[in-house]
Amino acid sequence: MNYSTIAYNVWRRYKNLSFPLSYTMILTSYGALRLADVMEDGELRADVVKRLTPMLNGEVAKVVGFYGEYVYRWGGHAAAWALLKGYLPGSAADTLIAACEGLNRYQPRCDNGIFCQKTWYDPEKWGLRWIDTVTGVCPFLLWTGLKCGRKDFIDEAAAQMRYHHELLFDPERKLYHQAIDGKRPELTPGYWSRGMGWGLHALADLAADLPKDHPERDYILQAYRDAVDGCLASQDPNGMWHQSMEDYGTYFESSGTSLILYGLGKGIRNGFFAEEKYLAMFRRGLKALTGYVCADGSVHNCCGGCLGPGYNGTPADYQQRCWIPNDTHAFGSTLLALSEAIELQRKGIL
Amino acid sequence: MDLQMDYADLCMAILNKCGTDPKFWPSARMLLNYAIVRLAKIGMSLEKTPLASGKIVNWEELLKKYSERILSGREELPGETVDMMWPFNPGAAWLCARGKAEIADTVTAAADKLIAEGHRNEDGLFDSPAYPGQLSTEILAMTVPFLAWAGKISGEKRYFDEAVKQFSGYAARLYDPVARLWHPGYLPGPATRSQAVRWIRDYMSSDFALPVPGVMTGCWGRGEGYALFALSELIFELPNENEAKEKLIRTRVDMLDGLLAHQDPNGMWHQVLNDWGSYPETSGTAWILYAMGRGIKKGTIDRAKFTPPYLRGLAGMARYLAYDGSIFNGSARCACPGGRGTAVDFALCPWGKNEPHTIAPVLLALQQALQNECAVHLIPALSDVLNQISGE
Repeated sequence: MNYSTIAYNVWRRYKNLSFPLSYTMILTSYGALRLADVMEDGELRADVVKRLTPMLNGEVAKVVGFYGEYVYRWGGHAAAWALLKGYLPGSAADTLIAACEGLNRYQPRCDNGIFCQKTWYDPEKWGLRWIDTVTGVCPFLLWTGLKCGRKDFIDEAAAQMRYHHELLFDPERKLYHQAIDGKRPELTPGYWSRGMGWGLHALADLAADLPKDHPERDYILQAYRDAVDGCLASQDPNGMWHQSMEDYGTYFESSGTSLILYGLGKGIRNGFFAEEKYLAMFRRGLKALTGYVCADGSVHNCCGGCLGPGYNGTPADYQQRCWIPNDTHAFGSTLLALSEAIELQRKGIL
Repeated sequence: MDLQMDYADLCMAILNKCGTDPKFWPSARMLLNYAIVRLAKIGMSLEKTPLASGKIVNWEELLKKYSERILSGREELPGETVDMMWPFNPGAAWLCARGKAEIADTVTAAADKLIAEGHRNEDGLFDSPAYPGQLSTEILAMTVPFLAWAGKISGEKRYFDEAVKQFSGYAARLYDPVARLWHPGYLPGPATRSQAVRWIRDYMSSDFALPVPGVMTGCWGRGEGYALFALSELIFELPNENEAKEKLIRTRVDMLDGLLAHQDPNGMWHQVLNDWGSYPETSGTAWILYAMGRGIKKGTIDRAKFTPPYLRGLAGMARYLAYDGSIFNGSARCACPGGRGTAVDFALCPWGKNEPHTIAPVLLALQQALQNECAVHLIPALSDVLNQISGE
């Protein structure tokens, strides 16, 4: 199968739509860079780097997202990946180092050091923590730290992953709750598939790139295995994951499915999931995903922006957070899943 | 499944996804028969494989398989929006008209029976026997092409005359010449209990009232599509010397011209054609593209004028056709929404993924595009269309 055709159509569709600058642009840029990597496509890579350059030059005042100030407006983990791989000029390193330092120094934290935002039920109180954070900050810190020799960034990336995993991961279901202290002073009860995807995205990146002698590596690898096992148990027989993963009455959701496939595919490729059941899980998911990506690159069944919706992120709340054709979250996640599929094919695994 | 997609690839993906799934058969209704055998015949006529992947499809085998299925299958299925039974399997009649099935006597006997015994309203128009007086453009789709094929098979003018009479009579009732849109049906007043029960059960209309006899005021995309389908088949089969042909061609030009004003910037037509607040709808769009594509191929509509919106429509429809053959945004449960069929009633009808009544028109639109690309070379490949037309 030639998944590159689908991926290029998705990228073309994304380019032909107009979205406000937000964290999803970072995700899509990273997805496109990964596609350029696996296709060895210098033209595509140059196109993405060109899109990131105004950010790295400090010409973009605001990028929407909770980590807009210290992460996204500087290109986020897409820029960090490009830096790590040598796609950016040397001056970009200074920019990203300054951004990481700003994040570590100024981002509000709870007592244990976990990054947080203001709660919604009490605007004066800091304490909202959510799983989306780990994709926003962990690979950004990790890859910048690796490239620039900044152990403190690497340590912070691993620490944030541990904090969020300890707080939001349900060890019985092996799935992530999305948030705590959002609308209510408690965990959001549902297990949102894109939230799971955010967690797996960061875990896959940390597992792949955290130095082998890093003291947190074993913890990260165990968390990664647990999370993938949770996804395996909650995959619909048709291959998709549902909007609220534990409730098959909720709709099939494509961005969560894609991010889970990215996390899983990257782990298979890096040798963390050698058993056949994981490859079968990836195959099922990929086949199902092609039922939601259309011939012009449009992506259906992607949940719109979502943080503990409704009463407090119950399965019914998530269900009522409708999906949107070609939602801004749809493209990066799909590109990442397809890029992993292409790479697994090239390695003769898929 | 192959992921290099062009018109033929999409046809085969849809066929493999929906055409072979028992749950779509027979609920995809009679028109799917016709769409599949017509696709196979078009494929057989092409010199080389039209699949972007280079894969070979055994079109003869496909035609044989589905011909056998059609000719041995049942013929008594009710319509979508009426309780009228199909007078004959359209795929079977079409096969006979194209010389691919030797059932001429059976076809003409069924056509004779329809003319003699088919339930009619006071104007002689076929209506729903279970709900006398109900007109629906779907009845046109069930009867007019069949009569035209009977005329083609027998060479007898009376079949064509009946088909023309039906179409013209329906147009007088349901076509709005100012808006240049069709209303999908006429309601004669309070329904019989059996009809009401069926609709309430199937379509969850809790307010089944039909207070005033008259046309359904909403202009439903698929309803327009049924009328266009009937007209296109009739035009194609009518002998050139038939006195009605020229007027019918003008009518189709008028209909298609009117529809141009309602095509959205992405190329789609909506569930309620003249209300973009309703969702982009795939089956109506596909029926319109099928008719437009036939007109472009035959040169019976202005190619320079209609080809750009035709291509925009193909690009727009591709937004709803997934790589695995799934189809998004096909309207469901639209027999008589709200018991009245107003624009809002239709707009509130949900759309479904892989809605059975969407499969046939999408297959027909795509195979017509395939023919226009590969047989008569009037349009580019889908990949080129998508490169040229980005949409919003």
